[in-house]
Amino acid sequence: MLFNTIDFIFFLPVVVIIYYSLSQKGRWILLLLASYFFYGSWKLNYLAFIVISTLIDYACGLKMDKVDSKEKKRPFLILSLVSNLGLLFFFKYYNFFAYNLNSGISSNFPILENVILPVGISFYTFQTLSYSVDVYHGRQKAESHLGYFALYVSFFPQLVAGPIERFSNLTPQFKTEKRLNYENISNGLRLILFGLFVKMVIADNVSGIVEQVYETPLSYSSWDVLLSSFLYSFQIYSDFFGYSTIAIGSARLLGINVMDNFKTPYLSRNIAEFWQRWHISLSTWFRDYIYYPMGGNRVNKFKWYLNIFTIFIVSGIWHGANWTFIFWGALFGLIYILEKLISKYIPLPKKNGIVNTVLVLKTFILTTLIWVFFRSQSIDEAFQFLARIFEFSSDSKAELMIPSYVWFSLIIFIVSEFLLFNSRFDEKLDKIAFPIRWSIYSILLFSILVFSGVDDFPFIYFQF
Amino acid sequence: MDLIKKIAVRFVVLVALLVGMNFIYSKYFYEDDLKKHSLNMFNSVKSIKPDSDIIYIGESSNSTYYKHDNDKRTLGEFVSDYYPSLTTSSVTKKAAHAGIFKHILANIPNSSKKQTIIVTLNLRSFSADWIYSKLETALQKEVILIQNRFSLLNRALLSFKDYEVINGKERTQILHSTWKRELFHDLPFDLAHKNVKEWDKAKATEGIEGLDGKRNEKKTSLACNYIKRYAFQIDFDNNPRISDFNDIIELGKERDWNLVFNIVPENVEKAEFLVGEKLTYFMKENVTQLKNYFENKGVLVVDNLTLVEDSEFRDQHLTTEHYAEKGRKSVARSVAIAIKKFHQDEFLETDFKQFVRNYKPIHIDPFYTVNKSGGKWEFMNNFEGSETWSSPKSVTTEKSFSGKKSGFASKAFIYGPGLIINPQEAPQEELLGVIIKGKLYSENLSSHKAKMVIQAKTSNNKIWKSFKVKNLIKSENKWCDFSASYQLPKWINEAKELKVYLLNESKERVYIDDFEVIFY
Repeated sequence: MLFNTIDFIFFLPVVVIIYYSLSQKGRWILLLLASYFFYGSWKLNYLAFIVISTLIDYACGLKMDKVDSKEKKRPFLILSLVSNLGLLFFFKYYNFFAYNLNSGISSNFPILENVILPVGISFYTFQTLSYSVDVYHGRQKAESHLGYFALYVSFFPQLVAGPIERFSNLTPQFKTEKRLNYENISNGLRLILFGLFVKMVIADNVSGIVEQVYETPLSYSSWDVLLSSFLYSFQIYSDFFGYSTIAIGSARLLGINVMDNFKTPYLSRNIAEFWQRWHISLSTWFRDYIYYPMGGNRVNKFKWYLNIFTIFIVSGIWHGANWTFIFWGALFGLIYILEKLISKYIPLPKKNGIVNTVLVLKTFILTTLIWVFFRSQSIDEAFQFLARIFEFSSDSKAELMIPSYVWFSLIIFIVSEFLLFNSRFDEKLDKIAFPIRWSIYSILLFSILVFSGVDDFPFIYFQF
Repeated sequence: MDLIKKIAVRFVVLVALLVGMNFIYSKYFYEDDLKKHSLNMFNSVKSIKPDSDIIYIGESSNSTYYKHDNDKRTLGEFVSDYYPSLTTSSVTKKAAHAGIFKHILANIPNSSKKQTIIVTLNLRSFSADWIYSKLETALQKEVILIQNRFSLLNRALLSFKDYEVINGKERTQILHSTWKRELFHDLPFDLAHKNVKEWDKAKATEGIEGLDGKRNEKKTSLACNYIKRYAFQIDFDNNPRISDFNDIIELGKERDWNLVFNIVPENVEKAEFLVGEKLTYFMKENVTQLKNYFENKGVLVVDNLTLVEDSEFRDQHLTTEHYAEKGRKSVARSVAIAIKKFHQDEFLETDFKQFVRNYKPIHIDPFYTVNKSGGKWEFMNNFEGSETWSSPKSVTTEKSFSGKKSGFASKAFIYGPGLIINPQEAPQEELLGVIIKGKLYSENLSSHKAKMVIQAKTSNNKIWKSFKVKNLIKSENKWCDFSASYQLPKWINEAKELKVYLLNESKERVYIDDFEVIFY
């Protein structure tokens, strides 16, 4: 089930109404059933993987909790890691490795055709991994209630595309009784409204335009290719940000606070700041479970840079089984390190509007160019796309047509980014008078109902 | 109490806003949206004449004609010849089925007359192949906006995907699992295959011989297609098409229509020739059951399953229901005679018998050799001569299908061989479409982005139609036949230039040989 479908529009209110009519004891059962239904409505068979992952991690957690020494805990941690990462490897990376090994060393690994990647597998496996690691280190007590644990793994608002939540943040909320609260409902609905606008009006309209240019960039003028690369920056952001906002809003309706995943990332002054504002739940996951264990910044300079670079490579691999993602991660890593080196000699001024504007533009342009690798099917194709931009050619066989309502909605979105800097849509609206607030709702609602893209562009991050 | 008041105020404001939005949308946006997202459906509805006595609705079987037909009118229009004093509408929605027709029919304006509604019943539309067709999502989307609801609600349902969101890959998976899951049962003969999958596989392995005594791939493939499309047994409780026709019956009762289901002909002769009587049993048995089922519900069912002979089927290498003139006229006559029941006094005999007497049996070639009465306008290049259809650099001796040379395109020469013509110089009065065919060779189908492109423009209009090579051919590292056709817009006759070329922006070369471009 997708958030931007009629099924979800009916599903969510039904779940919310039943949720508040039940006593606390029955709520986890409802949410678990609803989550399994939500996931199973896409592909019932693949629900089995969530259940298996849940059972293994639940059992490993309990086993680790019962023993004192890390040596005794280690086999269970390994079991959890192997089962989760094994599942991820099989579905997501096996064909990539087989293909590359077959072409590299002339091996003969079979290529598995017709394997469909289970939606959200990268998200829920990372969520359960964080739990196992935390229990192993003694930072988290193992959950003895299988129901609550299963709900942590599968909580429907953030099951398929995050935010990747920590056990310590989510599960205690399931256990606390939530009363029907006007503020929660109101803020949840605001977030859902805004998220739907961002996804359905911005991302879904822009995606068709971007797709045609990426199909045949050489048929378009350099200007059109450049423009489409900027549009892709908005597409991927609005697609994922829209999803996360709906997820946070949906959880909020149930009285549950899910962490923010984005904080106006395109207003970052450098790449380091960008990654503090983009896909925050993944960045912090990598920080806590890979970067810190590698020593973080408490190592020598060279090792530190290596750690940073490694994180970005892993992030690239997480996003997909293609060299383009690895290259994309590597580019971010290199620029991150480069900016760190430069900032040692040229420190950033804290309050200089012009310099900050230039830096924001610089970061946005760099990010846009790096996204080309993320969007392309191959590295070769990405370079070809970039080369077309820098040919500065006005020759074109095809023209890029952007409807006026797409420009209009993009302007609304960009303005909202500036207004929402370091704050969230629901909080910001609290401070606005009723007539203005409802005028904003009207514009968003009308845009969603009338100007949404009608082609089927699933959420980009579902494929990860 | 305050909370209830607060919510009530907001609810009232929301309702008022929605009413206002519906007004604005209906007045300023709805018609544009209809043209943008449901153009064919919009045209279908518009083509219904007000106060029609007879409405004939069908898919492409209604309107598709053959190049040599003297009379290219639709089947529905032929029916109207028998009732000249009545107002008849002929509605075509290509690739549609009862699930789509029911929504078009719901848009027929109320009439004081007792209307006769003739609905095409295409046997193939009950098959898994059609039910899980990749066209289904697009069809379902098209239908949303024309439904009788608030126009804003229609648009909202389109925005929120009130249709089956299943992609092509998933549909193919469902189709294959259905072919495997649905087992043949209660057959009056022994069949060595328990489902479509097995039968198809057996036929593909066995193959069909051509006139030269060798295995003929085209015939084998066609035989397999006949099995996949006709070897099914209708589950009257669960087949979605049954419920669609039942919905039409309900609508007919509400509107007091004379309802007629026209079972259009299938190429039973060819099915028997390629596969045998066991397959035609499925076709005939399904039709008998459908006839009984719907007649028991009070519908007049006209069974034309075997009415049209093989030679009158236009697409000889497909399983379509596209008939040449005699075929269409035969079906029309059969329907017209059947509905005499409702319009006895208005029936007028036509010159049909004379037409049949004078009819010269036609020799139907494969579809892609069509030409118009104005003469053929065909172009062919095997790259052996001096005519390269582009830069000589795009011709190579590296590979060839015929002779020693072929054309190619790659990142270094992205524009491969291409034909440039002036549509105004066409021998035909007007160009209707273009067919491209030939041989293609690709070393890596999955990664490259090569396309065959048809391009033209005038000051106001443009076409840039591309066919991905990876969709045109299925195998790598060998020469493969390809063909594609494209219907040209009317304005093409004002264009000064039309190009058909190979475009490839990938590093890997794609080769083309025996490249043919045919305008009809």
